[in-house]
Amino acid sequence: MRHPSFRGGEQGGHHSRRAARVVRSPAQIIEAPALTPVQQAFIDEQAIQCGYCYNGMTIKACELLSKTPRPSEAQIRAAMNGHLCRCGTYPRIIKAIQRAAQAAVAEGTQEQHQ
Amino acid sequence: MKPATQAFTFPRRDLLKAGGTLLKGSNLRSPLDVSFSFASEQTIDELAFLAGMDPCEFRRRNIRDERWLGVLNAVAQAAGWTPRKPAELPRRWRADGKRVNGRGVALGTHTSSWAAAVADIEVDRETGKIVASHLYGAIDVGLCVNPGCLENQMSGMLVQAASRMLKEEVTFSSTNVTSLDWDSYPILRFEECPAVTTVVGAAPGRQAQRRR
Repeated sequence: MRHPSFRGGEQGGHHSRRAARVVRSPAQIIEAPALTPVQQAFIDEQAIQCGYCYNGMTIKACELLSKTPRPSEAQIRAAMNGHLCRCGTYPRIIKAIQRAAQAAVAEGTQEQHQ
Repeated sequence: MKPATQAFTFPRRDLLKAGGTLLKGSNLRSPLDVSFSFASEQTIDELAFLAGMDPCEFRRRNIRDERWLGVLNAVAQAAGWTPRKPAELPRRWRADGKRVNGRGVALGTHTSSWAAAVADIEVDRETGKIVASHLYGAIDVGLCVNPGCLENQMSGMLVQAASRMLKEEVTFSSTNVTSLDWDSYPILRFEECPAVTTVVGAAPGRQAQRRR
């Protein structure tokens, strides 16, 4: 139920002192950009718990894969070592980065064939 | 509250002291229960040692509750537990002088589930440094609606428990906490993170799912 003071602008022309403005959220204005392979892999592996470390993890993982497209597990661990996850999701994050690397390599192979 | 000590059916038990510590810090994951499990399972291991019995078998013989037995057996199976005397190194494990390997088993809970874990560890004899190489966990939560989510939680609790056991310590001066940032706080990071194997839904009559 709407609060009585809320008068939606979409009804058009009805203005009062208490009328609320039409609010457009960024989601309505901007088309969502496609996810990077790393973001998609984090979703596919359900690697996140609380999500606090997620930004840093994905950015660092993207950097790693840009320099080392097919990292070994040891390389992933070494590269990511500066990032902490209090929830302890490291095993799934490692899997997600491996998955992203595979996806990126597979995509690259596909492009070459086209 | 359902302490892990309730898993065991002893003819007589004496509770000497409970609570009343100077600093009552409990609001980390599983408030209080990590300390309870640590103390009680250490004691059970000492009893098994005195009895000269395999730690898993000693627990089995003193547990009647089928749900505790269920998770204990499930984790022992997942870890490929072989019976041995306490503090005895299985032959297949390396003992090259500098580093030795070992494994232990424990039960634990927090309010409404039954859980057991096996830890494979390496000890550097020169430095005393302990590394957890592989952790196995089995849990019985009753009906599990989202096993993938539960496995993520289990993996988290195993990794965080290893971190708390092996590394973590908040430091104090005479007036305040001196652990002020995550850069210097000792916590388990990627490079030392153990392999994790989880077993969900080990209740009797239910099929356990094992994933690595």
